[in-house]
Amino acid sequence: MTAREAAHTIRFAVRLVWRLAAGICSGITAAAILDGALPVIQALATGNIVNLILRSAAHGHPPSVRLSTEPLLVWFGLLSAVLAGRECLASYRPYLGTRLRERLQDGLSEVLFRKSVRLPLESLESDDTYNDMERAFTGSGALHDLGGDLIPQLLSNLLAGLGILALLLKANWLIPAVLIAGAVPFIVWGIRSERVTVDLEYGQTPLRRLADYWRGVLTQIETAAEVRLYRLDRHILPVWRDLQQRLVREKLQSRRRQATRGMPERAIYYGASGAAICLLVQAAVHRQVTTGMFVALLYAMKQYWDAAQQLMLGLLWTTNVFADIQYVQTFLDLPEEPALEQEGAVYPRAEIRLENVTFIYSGAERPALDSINLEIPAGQRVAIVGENGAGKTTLARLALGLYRPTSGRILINGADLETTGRLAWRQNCAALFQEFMCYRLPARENIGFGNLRKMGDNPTVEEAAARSGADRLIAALPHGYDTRLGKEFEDGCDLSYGQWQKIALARAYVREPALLVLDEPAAALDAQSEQEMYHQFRDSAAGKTVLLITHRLGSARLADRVIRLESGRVVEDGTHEALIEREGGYAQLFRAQMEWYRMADSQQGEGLSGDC
Amino acid sequence: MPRSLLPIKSEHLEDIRTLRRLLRTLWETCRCEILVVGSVGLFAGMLPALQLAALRRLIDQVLLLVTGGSAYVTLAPWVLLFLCATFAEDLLQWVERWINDTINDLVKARLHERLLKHAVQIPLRLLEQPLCCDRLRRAENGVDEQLMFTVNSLLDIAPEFAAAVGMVAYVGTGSILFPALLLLGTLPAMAAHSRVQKRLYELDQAQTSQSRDVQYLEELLRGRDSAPEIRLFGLGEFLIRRRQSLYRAVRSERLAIDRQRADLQALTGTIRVVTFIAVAGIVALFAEWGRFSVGQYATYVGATEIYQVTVLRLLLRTAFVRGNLAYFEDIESFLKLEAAQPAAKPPTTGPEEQVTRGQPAPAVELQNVSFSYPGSERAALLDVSLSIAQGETIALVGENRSGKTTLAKIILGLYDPISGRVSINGWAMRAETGHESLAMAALFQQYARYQTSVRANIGFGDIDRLEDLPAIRESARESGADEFIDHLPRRYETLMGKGLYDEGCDLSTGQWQRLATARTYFRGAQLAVLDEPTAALDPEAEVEMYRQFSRICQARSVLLISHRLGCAQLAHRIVVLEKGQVVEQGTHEQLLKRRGLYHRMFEVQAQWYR
Repeated sequence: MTAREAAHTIRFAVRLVWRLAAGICSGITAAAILDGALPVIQALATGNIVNLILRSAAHGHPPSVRLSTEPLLVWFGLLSAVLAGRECLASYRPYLGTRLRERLQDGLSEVLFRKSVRLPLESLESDDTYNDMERAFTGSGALHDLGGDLIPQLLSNLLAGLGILALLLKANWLIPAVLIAGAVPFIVWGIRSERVTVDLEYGQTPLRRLADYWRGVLTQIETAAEVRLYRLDRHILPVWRDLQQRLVREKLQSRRRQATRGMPERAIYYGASGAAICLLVQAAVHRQVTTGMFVALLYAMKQYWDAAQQLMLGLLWTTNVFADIQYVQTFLDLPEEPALEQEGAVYPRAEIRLENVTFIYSGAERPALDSINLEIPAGQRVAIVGENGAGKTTLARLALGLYRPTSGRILINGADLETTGRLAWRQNCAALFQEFMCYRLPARENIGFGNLRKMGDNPTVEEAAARSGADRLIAALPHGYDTRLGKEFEDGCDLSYGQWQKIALARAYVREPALLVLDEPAAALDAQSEQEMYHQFRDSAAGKTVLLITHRLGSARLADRVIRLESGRVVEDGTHEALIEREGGYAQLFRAQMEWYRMADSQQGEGLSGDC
Repeated sequence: MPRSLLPIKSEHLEDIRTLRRLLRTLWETCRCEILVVGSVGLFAGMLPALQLAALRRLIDQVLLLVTGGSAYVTLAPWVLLFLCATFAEDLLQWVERWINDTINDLVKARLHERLLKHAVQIPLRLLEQPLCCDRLRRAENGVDEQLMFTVNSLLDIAPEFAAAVGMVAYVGTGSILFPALLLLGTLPAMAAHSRVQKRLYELDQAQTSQSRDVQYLEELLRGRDSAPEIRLFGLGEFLIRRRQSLYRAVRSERLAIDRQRADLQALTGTIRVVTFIAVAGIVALFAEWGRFSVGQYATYVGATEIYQVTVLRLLLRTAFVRGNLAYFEDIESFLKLEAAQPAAKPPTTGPEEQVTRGQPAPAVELQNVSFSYPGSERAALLDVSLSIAQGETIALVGENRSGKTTLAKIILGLYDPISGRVSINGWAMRAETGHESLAMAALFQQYARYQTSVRANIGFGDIDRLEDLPAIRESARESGADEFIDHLPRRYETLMGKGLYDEGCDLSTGQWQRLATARTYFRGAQLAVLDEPTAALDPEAEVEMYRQFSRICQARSVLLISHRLGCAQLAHRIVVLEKGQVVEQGTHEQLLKRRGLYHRMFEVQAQWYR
């Protein structure tokens, strides 16, 4: 890291910390400065007490006792005040530090979370962004450390150290010089040695994540059934143990190497400290300091060592947190979607036009969608079919304004989405994604999330539930709409996948959208619910544009138009009847699926005739 | 007072027992390190006394020198001794630090292993309960965070005790009352500490579920899965605000305790300073009266401070260790949770042999099986009797929540029925891991996506044959997964999981499902449960899969759960569940003739293709 980068990082960190917690910061700094000044006063008081004792002892005992007691009391009073002050500071400084941490964590996590939800969705498909995010969240702890502990520690230790050095300066200027010169290599070594540890930690991250992943497989509910059925623990436990042992072994090896190094630096440090003590003794003998001060300074020297060591540790950690703070900085610098300035346009009807739209996922070689030209009139119900990986979901996400096309334009009612704003358009869209969310929250919120403004509006939520068929299952829940869903939490009510899907569908309905995307909506529904679902698709309010991604070609018949994608291109486009007549891939697939029911039909026909 | 004494005593005893178990764990994990750190610590503990003795002589000699009564040479041994003692202490502390770190790493790894070993033995039914989740989380958290401090403190107790004893001897030379007075001065600080620590632990316990809520919201805000909906529905701001208010509520209680701690610490610290000053003052008078030399006075005051600080630290550590034993108890209480019974060994005579005896037992037989989920009043299954013959294919159909998946999990031995009897190959199943030796396979609706190689994803079906690549390929071919696997950069060795590996790949839902299907085939099971196997497959793949289906069913019994009634015809027999009960069963034709539930459901689906 260059000095300029470092300065930049420091400025960033200080500005951020100051903005979030200026008041507490000043309090902590003041306490740290006070704490740093106390050792000097303590040394002065101790020195004077010893001198007074010496003087009175030299005068002979009885008559002088009363005389010398008074100044003695004063110095003792000062000493008590200093010690009590140090106790109090030692108690309240951590508390202030905690307060600051809290304030910072509160403010910073808000900043980070806001940033994460503003990142464009397509950038989240890339692992780099995701890693940046993870690192930033981990790294944000460094900012708490910096503001709450490190900087105050550094300040008070620096002050304490400097104060004692100043006192020693009076005895002999060589003493502070020797002490400083001896400490420099030691501190440099210490920082370098800690760097090694940190680098190791960093280098171990992938391995540690892997170990944690396997641990998760063994302990999480999602994988519990397979783990038990296939006795996977017999395989995964040794795998995890190997990883864990490797991690520990590497750490131990590195620590052992560290332990044997740094001896010269340590020797210099000890040598210099020894020399300083000899010089101090010499100064006392030559009466350059009073005997009292000599005694006090001997003790103060110990405090200086402590301060120097603390200073070293503090510096170490400060250099460590730099990297972490930079992660936060990098993350906050990522490009984000422009925020929605005003309420945004309302689209009662939406005609969607894709012009030469190509979309390439970052890192992918092949475009997911390749120069698509498509016009979907307002209110049209379109079924999109195609193999897995043909680009169906990508197309839907582009239409929803969730992705930005790599090239080409998307026009809503003739206006380019880039100029009118994708965020505003999204407010007019709803979707039931294939991997929809199962919020571990009350049923009402699960549905209301589709339209936060109407979340408190019971009739709206209930109507949406009725339309998706979720109302019946909610009625059966112990607390109705206020039942928490998901068994991960206490009092949570578990739902089956199909039930979750009905809830998710209600969430899409609660929006009254101009564009509705249904991505494989019937995948987990039973026959009855599937039928209801498709009927709703068919009867969906006029003016609503619907994209239905489906694998069940039977349901595509309900659509006004069927689009078949293959490798990111539109290969068939027309009504169901037209495509069947065309005898292309769609027709073949439809027949293959129909077979099951046709066969049954004929048998059923026989059965019925038999009955008659 | 015997009555009030008794519970306190038993509580102490309990703590001592826990401590003993913790010590045993430590001892078993890293005997050598503990011996080293113990002896180093004891030695380091002696050094402060030595330092002070040298210092006293040094000061006195300097005074003598000032008044011209001595030569420089007389200083040398004392300077040397003082320096040696100081630097040795510094060095030893440094050594101690890194051995402590090592011990921590080792203990952590060991305890995690014990937790994991236990976690996999907990019955699924229990694991699915939130309470059990909380416990596991607390235990893991205890190992990761709290226990480290406990172990460190525990290791420091012995050397600090040695140091305290040395200082008592030193301070006791003034008056025997001094150590007692100074000790008294530290007691309030310790009492305050214990009290705050107890409150913190209680708060931790009380806030576990709120903390989980906060954590859940954070996962939503950062998660990949939730990203599309958060953007589409504009949930970000709402969730951020909710997280914040929950978080603040949790934290404000904690901050209140922190505040109380600071107040108490300042107060008790001042009390300690008062006792220290009292002793220092009396000793100053001693020095004035000539009872003490100046060197003696100076070192005595130093010793007084060191003694008091050491004693306080010792007491605090002891209290801290004791308070933190609760975290170790959390770990232990998780380890005590009911584990599944070890598997009952089926008779060595395999099913083939039974067949040759002319009495083929049904592959699966359920007699009056009922089941309900913990905490739920509704019976998920009610009095279900069903038998699946060797090689028979059964389709299980019914609406959502009719109990299909529950039934499958009971047959697989993942749940124990509440009443009724399940036997596999005529062998009664008794416990929840009761038939690991019986080959069963399942493709669950929510199958796992293992972040590891493609090979292992399939091979996990039978971990004993993880390296058997030809067989793995064969299974991939059967499930249709081989097509996309051949296009992956490193084919079967391609690693899945973008976040975990540098070159990790990700698959589409349909591809994952094919991998999971291949895993099921690889099991080579006598009984396979397929729970909605084609849910996410594209039409071509689905048609292909059902074409293969009859082949898959050849060598084994199959229980197929499906919403697609068209494919239920592939089964020998169709069983219709409604509200946890078997309402119809028979062949496709028979059921259509009955014009019951099955007929209704079939009609609904068939109309799309007319």
